[in-house]
Amino acid sequence: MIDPWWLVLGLALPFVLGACGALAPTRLVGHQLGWVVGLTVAMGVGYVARSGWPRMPPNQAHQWLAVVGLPAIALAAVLAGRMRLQPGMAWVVRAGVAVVLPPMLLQSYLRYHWSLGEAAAWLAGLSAVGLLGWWATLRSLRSPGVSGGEATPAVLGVTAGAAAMVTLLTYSLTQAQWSATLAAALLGGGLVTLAWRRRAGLTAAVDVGLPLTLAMVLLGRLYGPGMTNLHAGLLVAGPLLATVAHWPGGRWLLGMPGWRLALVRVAAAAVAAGLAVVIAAVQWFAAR
Amino acid sequence: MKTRTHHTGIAGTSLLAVLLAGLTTFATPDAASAESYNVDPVHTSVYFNIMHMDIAPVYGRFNDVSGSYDLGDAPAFNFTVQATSVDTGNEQRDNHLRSDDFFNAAEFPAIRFQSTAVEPLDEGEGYKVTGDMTLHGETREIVIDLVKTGEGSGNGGEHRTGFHTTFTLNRSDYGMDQLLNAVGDEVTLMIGIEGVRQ
Repeated sequence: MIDPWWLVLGLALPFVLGACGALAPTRLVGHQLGWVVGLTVAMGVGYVARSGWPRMPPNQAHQWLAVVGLPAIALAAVLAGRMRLQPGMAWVVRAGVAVVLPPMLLQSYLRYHWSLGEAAAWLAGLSAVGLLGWWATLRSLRSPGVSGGEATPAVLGVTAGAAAMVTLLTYSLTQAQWSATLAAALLGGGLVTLAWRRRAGLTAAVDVGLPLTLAMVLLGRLYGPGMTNLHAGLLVAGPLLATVAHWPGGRWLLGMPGWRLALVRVAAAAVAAGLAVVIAAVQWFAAR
Repeated sequence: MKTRTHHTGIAGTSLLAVLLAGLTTFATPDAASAESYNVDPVHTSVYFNIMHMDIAPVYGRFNDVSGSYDLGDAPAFNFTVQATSVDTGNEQRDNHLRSDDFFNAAEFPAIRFQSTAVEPLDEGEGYKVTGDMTLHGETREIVIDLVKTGEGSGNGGEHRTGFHTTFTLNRSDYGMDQLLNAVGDEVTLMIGIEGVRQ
């Protein structure tokens, strides 16, 4: 059922684009642009390889994300990067993404499924969780002397990969393949980052990779008939668990060598993500 | 929205169409008419079949059907099917059909048909119905032969009429173009309708 060309354009090429984005010379493209362009182009190519050119105007959530959300996230990442000296303004930009993205992706739920109160609660909750995850992830990058932050793209890649697996097991090949594209791009850049100990542009990697990863989980949860709150909660918990070294009880981890802390961070995310996959797999086999 | 006209063969064509997930107000055909009918969902069936990998047809149905029609001076037909009610006898396949690989039932909960022009067939045999079919968020004009199968009184003395139609459509015309290498493009619908006069 899977087009062989998608394996090239939807997996291999995004992996290479992600790696190239992480390796892009900062003197030429700036600290943010490598990751932003790498991830954005990878996602665009992966989308077209899977679903073709999106309908214009969009009328499905994944089309909205491809046509409007993806460029908006990329633009916001560039803007936030240019406001490094004004972090408050950068957070205004990120808050804009966190507030605008959910209702754009949930138009049908607003129209057909939720009362006003439910919609308000869901949108506020999703924006809050998104911003909390964003803040915690960026905070984990910035502790001086802690190279475990280099694991962050891989953490997001593991989460997106698990989202792809869960979505596949819960009956949406469309979402699964696009999540896999994101995972490939993040893991391509993430492996380069870990191997070369390259910290340049990690903030941009989070500014693009985190909202896209959360969006993939959200799309899978609401438009894949089988993904439950448990699956989605475990997936979202991954990136948060990966910041464990910055929790009150986890600060002793900061004394670890960088590579070991990186391993702990990836493993923490992988445990939550893996649990979601295992639960989905068990349910899938049980239903056969 | 783009429209395209499909004329199907003798067997007729279509209606599937559907409805409203709770908030669609489809125009009720002349509520004041003495020839106004509501669809009896218990005695109305919407079946379909589609080829699996060009090997064999797979059959399914929709369990949630509603609608109304008017057989008065200005005949009109409106039907709605809930996409989530798709039932092929296999829960995993039904969930896949509800996903955004196919019906995307969360985003497009209603399949709707609303007539725009109705002409009588030969004496008493039914109607040639032109209408807008909305499926998967796309609306296309189709033409179906709605063949009258009978009429009479129900157990409670209420007057009932019945129709049947068979028609085909291409799911890709409605943006349902995923997995065409595994599941056919052409869908045949077989629909029996019974209405109770109001």
